[in-house]
Amino acid sequence: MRFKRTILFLSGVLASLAIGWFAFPAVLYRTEPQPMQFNHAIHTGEQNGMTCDMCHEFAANGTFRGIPAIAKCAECHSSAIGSSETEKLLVDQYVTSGREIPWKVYSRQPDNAFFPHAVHVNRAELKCEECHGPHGASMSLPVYQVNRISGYSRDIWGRNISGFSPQPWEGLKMDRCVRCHAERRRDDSCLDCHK
Amino acid sequence: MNMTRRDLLTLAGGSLLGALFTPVPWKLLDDSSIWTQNWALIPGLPRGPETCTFTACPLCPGGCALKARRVNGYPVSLAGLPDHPVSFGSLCPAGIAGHHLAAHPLRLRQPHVFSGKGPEGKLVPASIEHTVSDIARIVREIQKSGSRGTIAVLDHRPGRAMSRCYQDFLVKCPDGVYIVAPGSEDATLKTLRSLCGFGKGVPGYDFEHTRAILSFGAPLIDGWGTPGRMTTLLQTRKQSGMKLIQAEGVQTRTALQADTWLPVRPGTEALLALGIANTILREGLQHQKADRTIAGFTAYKDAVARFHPDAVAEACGLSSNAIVQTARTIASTPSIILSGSNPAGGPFNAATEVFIAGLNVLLGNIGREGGIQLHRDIPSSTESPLTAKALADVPDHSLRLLIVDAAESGCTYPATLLKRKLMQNGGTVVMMSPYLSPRTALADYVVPGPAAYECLEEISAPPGAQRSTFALSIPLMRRREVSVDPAAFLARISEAAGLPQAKAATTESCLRRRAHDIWLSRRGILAGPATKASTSVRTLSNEEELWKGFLEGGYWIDDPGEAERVSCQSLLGTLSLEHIPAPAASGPSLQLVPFGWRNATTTATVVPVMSKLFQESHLRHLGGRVHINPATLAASGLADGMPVTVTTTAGSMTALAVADPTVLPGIIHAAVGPSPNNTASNERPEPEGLLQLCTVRDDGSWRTTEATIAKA
Repeated sequence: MRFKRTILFLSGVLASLAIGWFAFPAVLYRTEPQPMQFNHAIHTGEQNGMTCDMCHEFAANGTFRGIPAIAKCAECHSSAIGSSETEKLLVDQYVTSGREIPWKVYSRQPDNAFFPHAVHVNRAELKCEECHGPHGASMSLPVYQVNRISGYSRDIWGRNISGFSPQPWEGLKMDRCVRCHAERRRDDSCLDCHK
Repeated sequence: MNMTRRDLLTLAGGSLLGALFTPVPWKLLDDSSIWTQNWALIPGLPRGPETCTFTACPLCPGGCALKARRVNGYPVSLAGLPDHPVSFGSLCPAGIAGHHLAAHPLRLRQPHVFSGKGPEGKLVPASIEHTVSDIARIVREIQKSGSRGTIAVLDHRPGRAMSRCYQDFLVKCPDGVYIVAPGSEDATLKTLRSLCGFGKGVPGYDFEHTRAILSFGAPLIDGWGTPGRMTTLLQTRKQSGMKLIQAEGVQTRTALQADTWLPVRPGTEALLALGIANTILREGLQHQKADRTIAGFTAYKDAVARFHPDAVAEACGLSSNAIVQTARTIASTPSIILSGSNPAGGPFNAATEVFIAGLNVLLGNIGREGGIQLHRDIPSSTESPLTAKALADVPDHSLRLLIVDAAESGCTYPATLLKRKLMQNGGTVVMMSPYLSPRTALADYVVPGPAAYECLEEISAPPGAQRSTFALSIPLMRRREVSVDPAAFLARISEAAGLPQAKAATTESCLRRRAHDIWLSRRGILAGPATKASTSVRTLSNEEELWKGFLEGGYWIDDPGEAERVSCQSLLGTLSLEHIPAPAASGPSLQLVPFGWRNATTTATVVPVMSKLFQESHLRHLGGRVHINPATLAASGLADGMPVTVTTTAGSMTALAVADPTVLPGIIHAAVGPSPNNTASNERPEPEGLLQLCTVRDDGSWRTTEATIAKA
């Protein structure tokens, strides 16, 4: 055949592209279930009107507490509000026993990265959405996928395997920190974030 | 369709090209690099509740109070306490990372015996039982042989409860000698003790009220004393009007920040002091009652008459006007004249120290506000059973067994000084040290002591403090099982050697005894760690309450009380007038002057993160380098960065030459500092580099040594 080698070469290219763009992400990430569902919108919507920092609060010493402890949930959910399965699970499994909910964290960073929320939220006055996207308006939690090699959430890299996304809040890698600091003309050194 | 090998290669080539346009290689690179950060064997940061503990830095006698942030009980950062009444919130770079020292690469994990003397000696791990049994055997041999050698303990931080424990041990041994290490006492205050009758009073500097300080090379604002106190002094001097005059041959950080820098030629400090004394006496600036209250005043005045500033200026490398102005400045206001001990250069020779300290006597600075004041010693219900001896005063080749304390004074000294005190062919050295530091180079046995923040340690007032203080360094981490409590170690030796048992068998019991004595005295206040609030000891209901206060980071500060009166004063002490040198003595052409930075004279005291100061930023000087004026280098045919051989009567060594215009011509400023890359832990360590070249005089000083340099 006259074009046999060209076809073979292109077949190789196409096979690699297909594997790399479609099969590789499916193999690289493993889906793990969250312990229970959570509706942010119902908390932040008109009915309850809560703001992010009412649950994701700062401690008295200025450190960010991250995901609220079960005691925080119990302030409102000491007994079931409504009759949904999730509500029942929350009260029966966690609030009553005082057991913390083993949430899988989408934005967990490596130990060598130090991110002071207080400086970014209080001093730089960044909105939560600028880094975390419209998480507060979601009706349910996104699928949690973990990278089989690095062990971190897929959200650190970004949902798009290419690493590029039209959404500015997608991905929580260092290049995003550097870009944002450069845009705001913030001086920084390695030891600012890597203690 | 038949597939040939070439077809397969074509397919593979296409696949390879296609793969480059997929995220696979780039994502795998990224993920695998992150994966390597998370291997199970790599220690990670603890996660858990965040707490804080108030403690104090045990790395040097400064004893700065600090707050440790802990995560899940493990210390992750240390910070000073700005409201603290003693340390004022400052921490030196060594102190900031002090909690890393427990994981130092040179940390000892079990006792070791050195087989063979000299550099060929190897480290052999040994059990603590074996070590105790060997040492007890030596003690028994000394007991039987009567006068063949003595047992001594070398204390790096005298005045602690642990020091009393050493004395209690030695008093039971035949001819036990209690020795204080060079650099553990302030040289000027020590000299003043020999010039004046202080009785039981402890001298301290009243920096807060002084108006002029003349420092002969003391690194006052570079880690000297309590760093926070000195930094505050520097910051407030514009309001207080205090003048700082720094006399030394190198433009150090202190010289740079001083109001006046006197670039005196090393070795001529005695002449400078006498030139100043001459001006004071000629112009009648001395203390009004000096002729009546100071012993030997007239003879001193006659002897000093030869040292007119014009006669000494050239030898000192200064103008006579600078000497006269300095004399007038320190004489017109309450002043303090001090030499301080250089962390690596030690004190000046005894005569120079007397001439420098004598200026304080001449000006009436003793017992005066803004001068040198006496305060009461820390309460003790019993008298010290032994008198402390300086290492230089111990007869040569007299020590059969020397036990060396693990505490750090922040200073170092030449190994030859220690070596010549040991019995020839028979002196045994037992070092208690958490690390395989250069100090252990002479050891026959190394017993691993607890590292910083691994056990309770005493923080008592540093030399030069104005009041007696006491606090505890509260442990921040669990002590390694292999590390040996010094008090318990001595108790085990006593038991094995058949000596009477000590009263306090652990460091904690020694400290409790001291707290008990403070409680009995009912003196002083217990200052809170983070606030200005304080409680009088008198108002505490019981002893346990005081101890609890110490465990919570409280500082005991003595009341001003009634100061001891100075009973007598002299200008020369036991020094004869013959020791006064000829006015125009010219020094050798090249002088080796060792220098170091407190707490950083050896690799073992520098935590890995701090090595950046020495290696990457060059903010501090790395060991094994000699800083020489570019003119001196050029005159010797040498250049910056060139390896050079430095030769003295003690030998020769190769070092790296650094052209440094801040060093006066004629000086080889030898850095005694860490070698952070030298952390091999299976060989006998070398003594501190260039210190080996220094000639140790009979009075125990090694400040300057005549030397030559040549291309290596």
